[in-house]
Amino acid sequence: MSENDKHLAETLQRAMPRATAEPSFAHTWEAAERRAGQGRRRLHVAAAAAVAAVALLVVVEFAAPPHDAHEYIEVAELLNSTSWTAPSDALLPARQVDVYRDVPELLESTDVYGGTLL
Amino acid sequence: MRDSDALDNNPLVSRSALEAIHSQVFGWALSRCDYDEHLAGDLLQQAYVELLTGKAAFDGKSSLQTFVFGVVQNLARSRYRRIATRMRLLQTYAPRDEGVAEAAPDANASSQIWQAVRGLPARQRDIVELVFCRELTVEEASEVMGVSVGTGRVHYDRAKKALREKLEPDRDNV
Repeated sequence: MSENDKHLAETLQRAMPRATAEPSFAHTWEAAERRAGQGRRRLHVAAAAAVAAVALLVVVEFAAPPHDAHEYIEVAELLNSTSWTAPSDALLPARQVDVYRDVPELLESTDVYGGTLL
Repeated sequence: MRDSDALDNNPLVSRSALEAIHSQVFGWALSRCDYDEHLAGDLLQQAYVELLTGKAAFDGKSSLQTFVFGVVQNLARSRYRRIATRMRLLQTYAPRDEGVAEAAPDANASSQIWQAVRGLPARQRDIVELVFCRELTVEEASEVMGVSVGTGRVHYDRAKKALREKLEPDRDNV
């Protein structure tokens, strides 16, 4: 550093604003340790919450019955469950579902006599 | 070699080494917070938290002081930028304290010199403070500022030139 620079440094060091009160190292360090501890605790709580959520998901998944389980089903029960009768079928006591099976015959002649239908 | 009071998450940093540079680091933190002591205390505390948790890991490539200055600088840039801007605005527009006008003539001269430093662009101001007031080398100051040594030298030379131009009349009068 040249003489000019040294002179400038001295001038600036004298002019530099200074703190009226400096916090002690011990006090600042303790506060920093507390703050670091709080950060760690927050991290631990978040990690614990994440683990608990995963555990809950696993328990729920295992507790529920498996989707692809084989069950024995009675054939009659199966057939009953696939047939359906309309409530209005009760109005057709004689023929029931066969009512539309036969085409009704019209009693009408197509023979012509003298230009008019018989 | 690991000191007996070395930090768990930062084996190359010891509590006693930090205690030895505490005053200098506080001075630097103070300057980063526009000389607000409460903010500077908080900034310093946060810098220690970064060291304690290992978020700022010291690798021993530079001096511990340079490293911690860099941590303070980065924290001030990111976390305290908005607060510092607000503080500057407050200082600019707040009504002046009348007590300042009655200050001793010597203090007034010092204040004028420091005003000349504060009038420099940010990078020049930083390097002037680090080199002349905190006694770092230009290389160390550049590292703290996060610029290359070449850029640091350019800022240093320009700052010196600008300061001499501002302070020369005072020197001639002396």
